[in-house]
Amino acid sequence: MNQASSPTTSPRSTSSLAWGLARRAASRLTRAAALFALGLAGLACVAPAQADERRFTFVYETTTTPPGAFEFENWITWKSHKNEDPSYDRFEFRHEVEFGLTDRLMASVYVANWSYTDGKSVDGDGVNYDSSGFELIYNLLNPAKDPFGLAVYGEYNGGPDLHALETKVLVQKNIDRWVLAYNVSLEAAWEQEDGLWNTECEFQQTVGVSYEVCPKFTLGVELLHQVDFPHWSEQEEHQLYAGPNMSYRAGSWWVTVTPLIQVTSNHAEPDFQTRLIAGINF
Amino acid sequence: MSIANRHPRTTRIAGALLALACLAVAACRSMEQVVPPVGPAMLSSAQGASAEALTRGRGIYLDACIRCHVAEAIGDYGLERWRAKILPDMSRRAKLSPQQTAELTSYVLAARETLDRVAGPTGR
Repeated sequence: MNQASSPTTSPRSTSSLAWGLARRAASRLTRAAALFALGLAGLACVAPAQADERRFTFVYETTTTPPGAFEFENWITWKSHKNEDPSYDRFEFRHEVEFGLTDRLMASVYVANWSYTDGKSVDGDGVNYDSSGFELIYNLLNPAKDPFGLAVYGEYNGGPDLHALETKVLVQKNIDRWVLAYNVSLEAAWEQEDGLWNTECEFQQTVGVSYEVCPKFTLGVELLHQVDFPHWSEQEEHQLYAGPNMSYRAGSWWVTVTPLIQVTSNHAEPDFQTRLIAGINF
Repeated sequence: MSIANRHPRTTRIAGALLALACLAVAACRSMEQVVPPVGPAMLSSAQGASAEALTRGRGIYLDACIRCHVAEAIGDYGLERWRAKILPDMSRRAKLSPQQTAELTSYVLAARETLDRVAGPTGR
């Protein structure tokens, strides 16, 4: 996206510059809102039937999909407003098919991960196909029967400019109507930029607490802590996000949303991110 | 410099959340209260089901049901509601086999009847 024209001292050109900036901001917001609304509308079109759902969006639970069950999930993550680029907006989409293989093992296929990015600091605005991939989760301990729930997670994502491997350890404890969950993850990524492949490592921790108000509705909070290590050596600034979450399920469909705000001061990362996941069970 | 000094706002938020979580956990019912273990009193309500079958039924309750929601307290719902609505509906959704469904049903109904005998009918 082009930068705004250079400011001048004349009142007339200052006024037209302000008008131009306002128009550009309005147009950007309208496009962003329209895209978000389109995504939501698409998700809302999913017909209701029955449930096996997530109560968190950034945190994974240790329980797995029952063997023989299928689920289709759609993700939207909206990242916005970097301190160094307030015009920044990024929408990330994921379409995922999840299925239970055994009592303890489940698999997911990411049919497509794609994104729309806009902002003054972004070189190529617009829609981009990022990758496809798969994940496996193996449950080791049950969060209700055992002292705590435990599962291991592996994921691969590959695309024209990206190969990434991610591993997580998932921990969970159910206490009465409360669910406490913690994930720690390490991701190794190889990204292509201007014909060169760069390596990066990302360390991430997430914590979630959720209260089941009734079987159809849960409320909670999520925390996301992340730190990147470009080239596996340099360490970038920490990022910590926090925010509420809620999940609603009816019949075989469910929807979970978490708006997060950055509570650290990492100016290179978005100040806000909101993730919405909607799923339907078969 | 400590993390608390560098990020005072983050530390305050984390402290408040921790205090809230401690309070909430202190008010919770134990898993034994929510999903009672199999005992002699329950066996007398079991209508022929063995202790092993009831224990397997309790295991299914704690395995299959929590994939989608927290373990609901058996005493929160009345016997008839369990029998006519919840158990058939949830067994289908959890894709349980006929044998698993039978063992789960035996356990839940025996546990619910035992609670009725001990404390009188409760639940919705």
